[in-house]
Amino acid sequence: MTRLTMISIGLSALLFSTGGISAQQIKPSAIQPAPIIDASKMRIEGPLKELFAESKSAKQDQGKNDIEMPLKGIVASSAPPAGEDESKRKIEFPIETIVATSNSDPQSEVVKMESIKFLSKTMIEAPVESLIRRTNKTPQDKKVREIKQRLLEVVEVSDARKLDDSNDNQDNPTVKPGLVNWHPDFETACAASKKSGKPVLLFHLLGKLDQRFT
Amino acid sequence: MLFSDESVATVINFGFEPVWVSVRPVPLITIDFGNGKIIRRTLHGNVATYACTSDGHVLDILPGIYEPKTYVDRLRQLKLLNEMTGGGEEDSHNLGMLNVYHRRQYDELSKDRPPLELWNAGASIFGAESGVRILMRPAKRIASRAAYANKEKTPTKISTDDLANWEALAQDTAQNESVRRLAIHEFLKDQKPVKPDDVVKWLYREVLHADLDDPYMGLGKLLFDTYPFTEEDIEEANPVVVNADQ
Repeated sequence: MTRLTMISIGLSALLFSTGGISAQQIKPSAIQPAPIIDASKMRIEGPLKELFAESKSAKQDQGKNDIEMPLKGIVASSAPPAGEDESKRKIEFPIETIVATSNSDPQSEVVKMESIKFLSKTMIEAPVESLIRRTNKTPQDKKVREIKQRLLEVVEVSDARKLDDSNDNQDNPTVKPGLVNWHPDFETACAASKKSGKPVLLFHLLGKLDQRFT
Repeated sequence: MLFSDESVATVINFGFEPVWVSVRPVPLITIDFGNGKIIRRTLHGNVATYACTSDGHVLDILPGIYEPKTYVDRLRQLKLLNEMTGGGEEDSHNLGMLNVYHRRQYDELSKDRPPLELWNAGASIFGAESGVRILMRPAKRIASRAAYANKEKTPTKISTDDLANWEALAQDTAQNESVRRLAIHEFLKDQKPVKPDDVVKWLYREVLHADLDDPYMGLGKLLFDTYPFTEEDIEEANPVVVNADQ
C-alpha cells in the first residue's frame, strides 16, 4: 500500500466519522470519468447508411400513389357505384315500425309492443323506475307535487276562462289578470281560506279582469 | 292595472285567498271620429274589494279604485281585522267585535277624522310575538304615512295626461276613503253577517252610483234628456219583432 493510498483512506475515514459528507451526498456525475470524444460516432455506420439509402429510394417510388390491386378490389366490392344500391333507398324494418307506431292509433298496443322490441332503451328499466317511485315519497316532493297541482289548477282555470272568452266580443282581447294567483270562483276561495286561515279577498268588477276593457 | 303592481300582488298572494267575480258585462264607449280614428274606453272605478271570512261573510269593503300604496295599507288593515274578529271563527263575540269596528270607524269618519288604525299590540319590538292582540287607535300615524307615500309616489316630470290620471286616481282614493267608506260602515255597523251577494246591488247603486238593475247604469238621464233622437235610438236598440204569419 503506497503512502498516497493510505492518506486517502485516512482522509475518507475522517470525513465519514465527522459526518461532513454522507455517502448519499456524493453525486454520480461527480465520479464519472471525463468525456472522451468517440470519433467513430460522428460517421454514419455501414448498415445504417444502407438503410437510409433504401428509404430515400422509397420516396422516389411513385407506385405508392396508385391504389394497389387487392385494395382496389375490396373498395369495388364494398361500395357499389352510386344509384345502383337500391337497398339504401328503403326504410329498414325497425325504423318503419317506429314511424308506424308514432302515426298510428295510440290505443293500438300490438303495434306499440312491436316497436318496443327494437326500442328497449325507451323503457324505464325496473331499478330506475323503483328509484323514481321511492324519491317521490319524500316530504319535499309531496310539497312540490302540491305546488305543481296548484299551478295546474290555475292553468286549467285560465284555460277555461279563455274558452269562455272565445264566445265574447273579439274587440275585447284576453289579457293576463295581473300578478295575483286568483282562485277560479268564490266557493273555491272560501274552501282554500278554511285550510289556510287567510281571509278571502273578493274583487267585484264590471266585465272580466282577464279582458283588456274592464 | 292595480294587480300588476308587484307590491299589491305580493300582499294579496301571501295574505289572502283571492278571487275575482264579474257582476255584469262592462259598458264600452266607442267614439268613431269618421276619419278612421276610433277610440274605445270603459267607465272606470266600478269595482269593489271585499274581505270575507272562510264562511263567505263580509268583514269590510274597499269601494272603487285606489292608488297602490293606500290599497296595500288598507289590505294590511283588512288582514288585521280578520285576526281581530277571530280569523274566521264566527261566534257572538267575534261578530260583536266586527260591529264595534264598523261603529267606531263610522263615528270617526262622520266627524271628518281619518279612520282608526288596527295594530297588533302582541308584537314585541324584537319580532317575537307574545300573541295576537289587535287594538284600534287614532290613525295619525297611518294618515301621515299614506300622505308621505303619496308625496313620494308623485313623479316630478310626467306628461300632462299622466298627471291628470294620477291626480284623478288620488282624488278617487280620497273619495273612497271618506265618503264611500262612511256609507259602508254605516250599512255594516248594525248588520248581522252578510254575504257579498246580499250587498252587491246596494253597494253599486248607493255607493258607486252604478245601478246594476238599470240597463243604462244610471246614465240614462244624462244620455237621453237633451238628445233629439232618443226614441229612435231606443227602438233601434230594442227592435219590435213582427211575426211573419200575421
